[in-house]
Amino acid sequence: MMTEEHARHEPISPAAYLVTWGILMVLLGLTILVAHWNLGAMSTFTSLLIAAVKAFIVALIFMHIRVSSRVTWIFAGAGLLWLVLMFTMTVADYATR
Amino acid sequence: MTEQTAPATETRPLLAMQFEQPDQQLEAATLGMWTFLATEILFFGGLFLTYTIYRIQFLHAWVIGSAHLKEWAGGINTMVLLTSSFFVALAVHAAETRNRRRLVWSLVAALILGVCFLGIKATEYYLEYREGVIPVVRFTYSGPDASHVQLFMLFYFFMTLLHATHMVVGIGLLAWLAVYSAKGRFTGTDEHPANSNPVQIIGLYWHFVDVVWLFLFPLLYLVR
Repeated sequence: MMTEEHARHEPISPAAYLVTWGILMVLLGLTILVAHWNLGAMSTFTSLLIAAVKAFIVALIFMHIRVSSRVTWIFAGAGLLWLVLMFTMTVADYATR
Repeated sequence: MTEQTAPATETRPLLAMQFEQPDQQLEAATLGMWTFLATEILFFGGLFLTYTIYRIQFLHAWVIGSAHLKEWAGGINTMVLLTSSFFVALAVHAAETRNRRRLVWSLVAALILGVCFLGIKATEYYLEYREGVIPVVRFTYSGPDASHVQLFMLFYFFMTLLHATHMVVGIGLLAWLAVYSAKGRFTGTDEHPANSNPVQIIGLYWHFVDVVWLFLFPLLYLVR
C-alpha cells in the first residue's frame, strides 16, 4: 500500500515526456490558429479553454499529479478551488449590479 | 559564498532525522511545495481577477492595447517555456534514475531556455518603449480610449514583470541545481544514494511559472 500513501512512484518515461511536449506544441499552434479565425466573443472562451487543457496536461504529466498520492491531489486542488471561489463570487457580484 | 569545503562527490544524509523513509520525506516536501503553489495561485489570481473585471468593462480598449503587443514574440516565448518545462521533466527523470550527466545537461538546457525567454521579453519591452506604449515611462499613444488602453498596458507590464521576477528566481534555482548536480549531490553513489528531492521540488516551481504564462499569453496577446 506504499504507493497509495507516499509520493514514490514509477518514474514517467522520457518518451512519455516527449509525447506530452508534442501535444503541448500542437495545442499552442491551435491557440494561435483559433485567434486568427474570427470567432468574435467565442474567441476568448476558446483560447482560455485551450490554455486550461495545456495547464492540465502540464500538471498531470510534468508535475506528476497523475502518479501522485491522493493527498497531493487535494493539496493541488485546494489552490484551484479557492481561485474558482474568488472568481465566481466576484464576477457574480459585478454581473448582478 | 558561505560554502564550506566539500568533498569532490558531495553527498548528504539521504534521510532527515524526522522521517522514517525516503518516500515519506518526498511526500512531505511535495505537499509543502503544493501548499506554497496554492498561495502563488491566489497571488497571481488576484491580479487575474482585477484584469478580468476591467476587461469586461473596457473590452474595446483591451483589444486596441493587445494589438500593440508582439504576438509572434509571445508565441515563441510560450514555445520556449514549454520546451524548458520538458527539459526540467527530463531532469527530474534523470535524478530519479540517478543519471548525473543527463541531469546536468537537462538542467542547463532548461536554464538556457529560461534566459532566452527573458531575452525575448526584454526585446519586446524595448520595442514597446520605442512605440511609446509604456505607461508612466513613455506613453505617447493618443488614439481612441487612450486612458483605458493605458490601463491595459499597465496590467500587461505588471503581470509580465511579476511573471519575469518568478522566472529570475527559477533560473537562479536551476543554476544552483546544475552546479550541485555536477558535484553529484542529487545522484550520489552506489554506497551513498543521495536525496534528489530538491530537483523534484524546484521542478514543480518551474512548471508552475510555465502554467502562469500559458494563461498570460492568450489573456494579453490574443484579446479579440
